[in-house]
Amino acid sequence: MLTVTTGHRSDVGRVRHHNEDSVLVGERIWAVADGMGGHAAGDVASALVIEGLRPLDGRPDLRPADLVAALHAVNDRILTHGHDNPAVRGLGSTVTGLAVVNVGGADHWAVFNVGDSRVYREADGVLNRATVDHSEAEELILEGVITPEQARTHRARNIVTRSLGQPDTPQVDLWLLPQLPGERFLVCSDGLNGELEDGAIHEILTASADPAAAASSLVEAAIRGGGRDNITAIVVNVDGDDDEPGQTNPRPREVPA
Amino acid sequence: MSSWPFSYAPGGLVGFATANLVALVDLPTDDDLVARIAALVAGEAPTLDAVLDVLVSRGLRAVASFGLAELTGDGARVLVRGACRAEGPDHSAASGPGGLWAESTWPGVTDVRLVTDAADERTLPLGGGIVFASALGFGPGALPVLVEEPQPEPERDLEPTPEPVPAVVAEPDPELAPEPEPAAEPEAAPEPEDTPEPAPDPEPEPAVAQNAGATMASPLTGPAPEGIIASVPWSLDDLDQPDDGPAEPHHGPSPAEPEADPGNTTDVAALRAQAGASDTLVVAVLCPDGHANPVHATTCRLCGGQLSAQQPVEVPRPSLGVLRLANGDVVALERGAVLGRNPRLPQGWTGEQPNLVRIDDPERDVSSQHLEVRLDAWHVLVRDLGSTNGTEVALPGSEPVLLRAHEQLSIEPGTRIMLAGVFAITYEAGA
Ligand SMILES: [Zn+2]
Repeated sequence: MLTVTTGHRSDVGRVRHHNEDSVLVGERIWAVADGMGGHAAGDVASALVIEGLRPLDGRPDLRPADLVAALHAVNDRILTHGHDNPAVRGLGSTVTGLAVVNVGGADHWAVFNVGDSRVYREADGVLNRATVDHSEAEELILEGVITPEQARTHRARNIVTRSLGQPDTPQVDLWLLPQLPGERFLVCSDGLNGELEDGAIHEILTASADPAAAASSLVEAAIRGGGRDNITAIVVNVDGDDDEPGQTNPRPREVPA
Repeated sequence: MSSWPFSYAPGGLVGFATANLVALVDLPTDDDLVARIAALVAGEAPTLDAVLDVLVSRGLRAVASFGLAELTGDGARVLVRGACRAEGPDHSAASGPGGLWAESTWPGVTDVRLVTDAADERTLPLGGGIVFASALGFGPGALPVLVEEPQPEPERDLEPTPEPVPAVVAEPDPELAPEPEPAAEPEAAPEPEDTPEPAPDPEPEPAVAQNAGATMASPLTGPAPEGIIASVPWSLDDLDQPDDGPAEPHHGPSPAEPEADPGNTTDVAALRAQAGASDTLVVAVLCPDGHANPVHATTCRLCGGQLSAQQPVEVPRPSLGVLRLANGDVVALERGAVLGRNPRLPQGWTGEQPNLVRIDDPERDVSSQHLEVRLDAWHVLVRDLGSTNGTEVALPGSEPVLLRAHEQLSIEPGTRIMLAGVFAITYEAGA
């Protein structure tokens, strides 16, 4: 059996006046939405995202397609809100997170992303990005124009190429992963990885086994690093025994001619 | 302020002038970006970087032509692109073809002018604000009637000059930070009560600006005259810009912009010919409904429609369909997949992270790493990863065959796959 423990922290940072990040810390789904649009619009957009995902938390039979459908519905809701409230026209939100989904009878992680917030996965002492940023900076990296390190401070860093609230239904990135004991996930807004390199994130994460302490340390480090944006972090620890491994049973088989 | 801080030539671009910053942008006035720049300019201490962030907020190349100039105290910082150029004593700047923009620093220069090829020769001085312009810069333009001694009088209440230039500045309050009347209250958001009602002031005030014609100095200053500003579908109160300005983490020139080389540009256009270039791209022909298909297909793989002869295009690869598992669940083929009781990334896997699909099999017939599914352009390739109990594949209309370990096979929609004789998978086309 696997047990999941989580901790989270969100902070307005040192420059912004209000926190446009919204966070969902459920039993089976965890997400961070980073609102865009300013003047309360960003808050509204990210809150709409979280409200749209929250009903999924109670569903033991959640399928990947349900997650995608929920995010598409959120996209429409944000669009509608913008149409109905011209003062906040152009509002939008990123979303990234982790949910338990069932595929083929087995529970999986679904890592999902639209925009430039991130999910990291740590296992066997290695930290990896589990999502791909939808930002101009990421595209410049892929083209070899700038290095990942340059991207952290590049002007294109904050230009999001995919978000919720768009007239064209945005494509939701979704990865299926098996659930493994000992792995940890970090779900964060770009205010965190904008201030901390991946190496620093890894160090801080491994220094605190407790997920709440790790989330706090990460956010505080990002504030010390400048805190130029809202900062949100959810840390998810997966513990327990893996009941799956074991030798495969060889069995006699008739090979069709 | 004793003299006119700016001058401009009339034209079709939108010019902004305030404090130590001028901007000339080729955008229609009803564009949201114009509204956002107007809000910045109306705010405190607008900076070139903040305006630039607005201009690139839709993409680095979204605005084809613009010019920005900022007086920094020890000179001028100039950034131009497309049809906009910059001129100053012993200096000039223009962007090359295809680059992002040209950025330069001109030490000791305070006399900068943003110009376009179509710049009107007529020039008028400007106190600040927003104008339709073909050129805009610091310093008074040549207008004889204005070349008079500085007026030592309080410029607050009276306009510095009498009638000669009535059209220019409706309200040349030199410090112009034009009180955005619907109060761009940055936070305190959800309290509509204390915030001045967002401009429900339908009183047209016809007198003010109708005569301003194309000049339209600082429309943000006064109440909106019907017909000019009311046609602008944005209002200041939705323009609070906490996403711009000081929060941006870049303080210096960004790495991809060669800062030490004034006038140089970064040519990445060729590299970025495709929007959404981060996706895997495939060459495609389109059916009448717009579904992307392999170039040599004759009918649409999704709707069966005829594919006419056409010029192939490069598009982000669409989903190649789904793997339908025995219990009816689907795994989307937007990326590859590894299936098994304990699936991991195969050694030496390159490219996108695949889905790792765990097969629930208490009998342990299925191997930990059983089957790999790779996407290669339009092809779906399966490979048995050396499983203990093997993989059978039946292409549509064919008998099942046993896959040789580690040998790749291209499959088509309708193909049935059996893992270890117990777990059935079907490859289906469709989104
Ligand atoms: Zn079709």
